[in-house]
Amino acid sequence: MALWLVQALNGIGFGVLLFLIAAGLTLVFGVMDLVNLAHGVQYMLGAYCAVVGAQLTGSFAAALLIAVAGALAGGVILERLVLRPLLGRSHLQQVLGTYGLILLLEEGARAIFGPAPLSLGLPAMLDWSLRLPGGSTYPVYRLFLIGAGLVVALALWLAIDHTRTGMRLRAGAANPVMLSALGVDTGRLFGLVLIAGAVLAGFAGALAAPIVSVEPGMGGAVLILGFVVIVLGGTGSMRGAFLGALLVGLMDTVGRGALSALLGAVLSPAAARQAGPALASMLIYLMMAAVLALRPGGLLPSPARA
Amino acid sequence: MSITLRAGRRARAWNVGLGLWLALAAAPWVARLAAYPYLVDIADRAALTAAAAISLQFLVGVAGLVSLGHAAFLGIGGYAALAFAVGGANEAALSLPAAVIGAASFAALTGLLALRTRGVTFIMITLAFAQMAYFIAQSFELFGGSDGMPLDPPALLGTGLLRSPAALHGIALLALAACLVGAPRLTRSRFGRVLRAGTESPARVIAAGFDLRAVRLRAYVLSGAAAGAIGWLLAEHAGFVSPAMMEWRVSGELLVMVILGGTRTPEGAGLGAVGLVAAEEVLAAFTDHWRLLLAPVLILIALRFGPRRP
Amino acid sequence: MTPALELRALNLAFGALAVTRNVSLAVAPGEAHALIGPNGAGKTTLLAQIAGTLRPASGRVLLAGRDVTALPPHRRALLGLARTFQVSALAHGLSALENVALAVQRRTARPLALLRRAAPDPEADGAALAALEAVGIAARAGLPVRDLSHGERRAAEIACALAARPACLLLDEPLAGLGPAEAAAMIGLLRGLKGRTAMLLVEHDMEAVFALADRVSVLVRGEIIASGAPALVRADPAARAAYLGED
Repeated sequence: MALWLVQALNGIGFGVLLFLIAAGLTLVFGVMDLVNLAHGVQYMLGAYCAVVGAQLTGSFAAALLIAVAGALAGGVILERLVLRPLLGRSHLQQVLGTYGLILLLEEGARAIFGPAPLSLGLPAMLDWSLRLPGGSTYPVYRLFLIGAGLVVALALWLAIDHTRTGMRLRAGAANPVMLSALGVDTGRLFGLVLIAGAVLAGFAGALAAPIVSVEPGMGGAVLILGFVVIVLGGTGSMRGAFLGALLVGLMDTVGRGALSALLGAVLSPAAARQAGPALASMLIYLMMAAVLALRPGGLLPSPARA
Repeated sequence: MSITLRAGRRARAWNVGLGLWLALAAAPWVARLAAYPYLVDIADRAALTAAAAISLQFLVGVAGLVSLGHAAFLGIGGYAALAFAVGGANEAALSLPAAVIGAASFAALTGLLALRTRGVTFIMITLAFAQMAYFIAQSFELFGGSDGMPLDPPALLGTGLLRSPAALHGIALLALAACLVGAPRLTRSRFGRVLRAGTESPARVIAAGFDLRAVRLRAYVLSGAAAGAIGWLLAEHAGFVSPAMMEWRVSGELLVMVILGGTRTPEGAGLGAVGLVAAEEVLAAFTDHWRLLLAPVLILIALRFGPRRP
Repeated sequence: MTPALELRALNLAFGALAVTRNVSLAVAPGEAHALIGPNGAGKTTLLAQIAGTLRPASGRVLLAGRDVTALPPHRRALLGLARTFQVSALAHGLSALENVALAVQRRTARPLALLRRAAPDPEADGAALAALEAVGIAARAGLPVRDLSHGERRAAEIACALAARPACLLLDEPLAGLGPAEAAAMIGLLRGLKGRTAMLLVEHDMEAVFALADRVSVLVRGEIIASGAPALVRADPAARAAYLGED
């Protein structure tokens, strides 16, 4: 029981991070029809900025702020120089351009910081464990991560559901073509989405930095999981991204645990040891495949796309 | 553009393809002249990569399906070779068909689902399924896990015919030739025409009575099967199989090669592949961080060339 | 006699907006049946449900007595249903001949042959060329569609539909954008099809409608409010109100 709770919390934490990454990206795909492969490096940028910030100031809080500032700066530069010009171009050119960005930024990180993973120590204030019901302990930092992520998610929800800009975004997600026909300044709106998405991803990278290894290639796997989340939830749907992210997070933690238990009960230890990891790594993608088979539009698609 | 202009363009493309093939075929002699034996290895790798790029170009340029997961088929081909070697039956007549069937099956299963979507979503799904294959490969301790394993050259019908560098060179060239000849023929076929018409006007093709999704699935499986065979060849050429064969970066690089080559002709994709492999080799001689030199070029090309979307 | 096309109680709504309300209609073999109505009445949506690109919420679509409601569009095409689109659906990079030949190719023994050359295609080109002659653009058949004028593209669109020798033809505003000479030619062509091919024709040009149609149905806000011989419909008060009132 205690183990399940730990795994569930891990899953929620992972899900929260994935939501921060997927939230901006799903709008970029759904409203702007832009293939932005470089979103993963925004995450990496945030993580590296946090590491540098912590080394410079010695304070985790300052490191977070520096990471957000760095992600903002990076987002603005990328948006102005590369992403906005790519908006009017074909998907193939967008793939080419953003792939080039990945090469540039990952290699840049490798050149500046070296290929070896960096680490960021946990802030002293959060470097302890809480006793959970059931007996096991859980790192407080991870609880902080969950909390911070949920606060941001709440702020996003308020922004999208209760502001005019948010309304325009929702309209754009439902019917992108109509948006500019209705006179909305899509240039500014899209710029806002791209930069906000970059900041969210960078913030996620900073939050993740103390508990993952910070290396130049860290954005890749995260980007692809972000895609899975978006497919699960429905392109252009924030609610879908939230649900999808939690599902992926829980499936990757609780799901794996459940699978091991199941295999251990049904198969011999040797067979379970062989098949287990393979099946476990497939779980998330099998879930995506199942959703695709039953509801190709996603679990919570935005209105006109259902 | 009339039929005759189209024929002229095809003739030019054919010449490019022939020139490319001859240049790669000449590698052993050039290597001896330049006293640089490694050149043959590079040429073989370039030829096989070009073949892989051509198999992707068929999907992208003819069927209009932008796949960011093509490396999965390469990897499946490679792991088929490894599976038979590890299993004690390292016979090409067995493992190569297995590679093709394995890759084709993966293409059929994932294609069935992926082809229910379009555009950006399709791109994401192909990437995700390839990542799944990557993680599955990583998890098999029997095949070396995330490190991979060396692969011994296979027997061919019991003989050691495939075990010489000359044989490897010959097979790489044969594979490239097959792609350079086969891809345009497929494109010009009835099947190819339905695909081409389907990218411009799906409604027209459906109104004519074609099940467009089924036709596209067929293209996806054909392309995947070809890539499976090429992956098998790449693995035998490298003498090593690892999950890195199907990393998403490999898929990305293949797509970049196709885009650089112009997506409209297989010869262009081949040229893009050989060009990129050559550029990487040359740049890497100068600096470890050669990607920093290549990346801005890619970005500039993306921003400057190609059509604006209507 | 079994109708070539029959609609029974079709209903469809997009959210709260009912776009097709209990629509029933029958088109006899060889009959030219016009569907008229104000803009936004749901005519194109109805055609889409007949063709199969939209699924009705309830009701049935029958082709020559066979229930095709559950069949996808390409299957209905193979059963003898052809349609033209409001905005021409043609592959612009291919020639007019190739576009038209697609439907013929589908009906050959090996429509998806992997190695058989598509162009020129002796098996399919003959019938395709005949269809293009019937619409008067055989001379321009070898040109890519992007080089054709609007009128020629509309003609090619009809040729695509005719090449498959359909039993039932759905026409979505075939006269739209045509000059007077081209329109007259189109009307002549369609008149020539009467008796052989059942036609359901959505059109705004009232003169053409009344010159061509054997029967007329009026669609207003998703509902058929009048249906019958042209003269009767012209005199029907409900139809007049819908048209003259709405205009």
